[in-house]
Amino acid sequence: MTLFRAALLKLGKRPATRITFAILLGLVALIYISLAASLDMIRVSSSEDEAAALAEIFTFPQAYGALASMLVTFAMLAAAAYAGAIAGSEWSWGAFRVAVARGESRVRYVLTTFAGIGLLALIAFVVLFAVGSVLGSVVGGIAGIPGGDPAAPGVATAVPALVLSGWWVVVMAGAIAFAVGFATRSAVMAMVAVVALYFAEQMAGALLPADVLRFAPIFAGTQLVGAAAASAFEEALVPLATVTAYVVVALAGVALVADRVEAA
Amino acid sequence: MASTDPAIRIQGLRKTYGSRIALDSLDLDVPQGAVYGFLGPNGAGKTTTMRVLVGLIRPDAGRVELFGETYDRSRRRLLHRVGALIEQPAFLPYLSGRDNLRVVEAAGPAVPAARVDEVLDFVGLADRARDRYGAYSQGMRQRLGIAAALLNDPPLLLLDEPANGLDPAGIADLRRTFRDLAAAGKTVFVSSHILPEIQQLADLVGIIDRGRLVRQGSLRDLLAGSGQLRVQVGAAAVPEATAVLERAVGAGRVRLDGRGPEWLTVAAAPDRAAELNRLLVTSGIDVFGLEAGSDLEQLFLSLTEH
Repeated sequence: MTLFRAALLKLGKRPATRITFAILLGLVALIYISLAASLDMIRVSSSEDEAAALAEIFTFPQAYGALASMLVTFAMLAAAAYAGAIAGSEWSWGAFRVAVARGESRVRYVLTTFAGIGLLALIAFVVLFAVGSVLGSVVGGIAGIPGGDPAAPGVATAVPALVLSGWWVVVMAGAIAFAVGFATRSAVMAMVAVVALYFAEQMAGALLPADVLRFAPIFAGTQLVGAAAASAFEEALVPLATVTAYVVVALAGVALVADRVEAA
Repeated sequence: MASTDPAIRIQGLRKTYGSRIALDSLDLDVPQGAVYGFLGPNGAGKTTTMRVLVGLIRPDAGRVELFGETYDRSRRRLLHRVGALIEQPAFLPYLSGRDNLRVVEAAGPAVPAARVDEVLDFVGLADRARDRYGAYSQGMRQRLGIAAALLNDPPLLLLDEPANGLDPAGIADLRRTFRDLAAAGKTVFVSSHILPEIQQLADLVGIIDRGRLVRQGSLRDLLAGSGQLRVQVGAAAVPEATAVLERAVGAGRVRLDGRGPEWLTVAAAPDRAAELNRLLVTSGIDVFGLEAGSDLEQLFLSLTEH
């Protein structure tokens, strides 16, 4: 627990933590405001169906699913950059070396550091989700879109499921970046790996059958959030297992590297 | 643990990086309670030895004992009795000195909550404890590194070039710190390039070169066998002076000194300075300069120059 508290201290006071959160918060606000501001124009230039689909972003409880999908996309990239930076700086600032020289377990140390990242990601996701929900409601109201019922039946289970599944997907992206960043000792490599993975999946989408593609990490993550948004919990099982497998494999990789690597 | 066991015992330690041999069957004994100066030129293997001692790297072969117990990665808890400053101090630049120590103390052995402030006070950083580490001078960083090494009040300290970046006042502080630690009965294993510091502080010295220990012993014993005199005579009198001195101290024990053609180095105990001076003068050779003394630097250079 002491090690975990120390991990939270070093992560919580790191400027990158506040900057990453502020960027995500700004993006969410910007997207809602710009969507609402351009809604009239979209209504005129698009079909009624398209306008109705757009209005759903502001209409609860459907708006929760749209918000979670949007958040996950941005948060995955942010988590990759952030976790990669943390992993890289374990080497560049020598924190891992110091812990090892004090007789700390290498594996416990790196996994605890990642657990800290995971907790911060959860807090950030919950706050962003809450802010996004409020913004969606307020901005939609200003734009004259009926807000629906934010507390509709089923929301009490659907929203936690959405938040947890979204967070878990973000953790997956963070874990992959953390593993790459720690193994290569480079934050840049971590970010490059996740972005490359994203584009590789986009390209593979055109080539590979869906049965294969559903086991790709980002695709599985998108499926998981989609299933949670639709409250289709049975459909969420395979994506959930896939995402969890990537988290486990990435962290096992980190543990293996930490245990074997020459920490000099 | 038997109290007579050495704090560190290294036997046959070997480490290679590709074709480069960093440590070549290194043997070393550091008794408990000693201040041990670990000397060697750049690339001799000092830092590699330190890294092996704290489990940062694995040796290819050999054995390390800490306080009589065999140390390997599976027995990392032995490091709870060790405080280390290896290479540069490693801290997070955005955290204060105090927060950095709180992060460090969370890894490894548990330490009392008040300990962080105690060690900050000990190294003279109490009034700068809330400042960001990134704003610290090199000397302050080094002192924070020493504070971190002291956190768990370890009986054995491994300090790799602790005087790096310190100004003369900082080095004087460091010297006092070493004295205090030695007086408290701690074993201090310190590598340094600043030989006069080691000469002032160390009880024992080990000199490493190309991964091998080339000399180890008490400073007094090592220097007793390395007494030197430097004599300055007129350039024209060098051959005659060499002959006179060799008659007194033995053939082959007089050579030209590197600093100029009129300087001779004589391998002789410093207390023979007056006698040799008299010999030269009575032989009609003017002596323009005479320096007596044993020094670690000369010994170091004689053992490590290739």
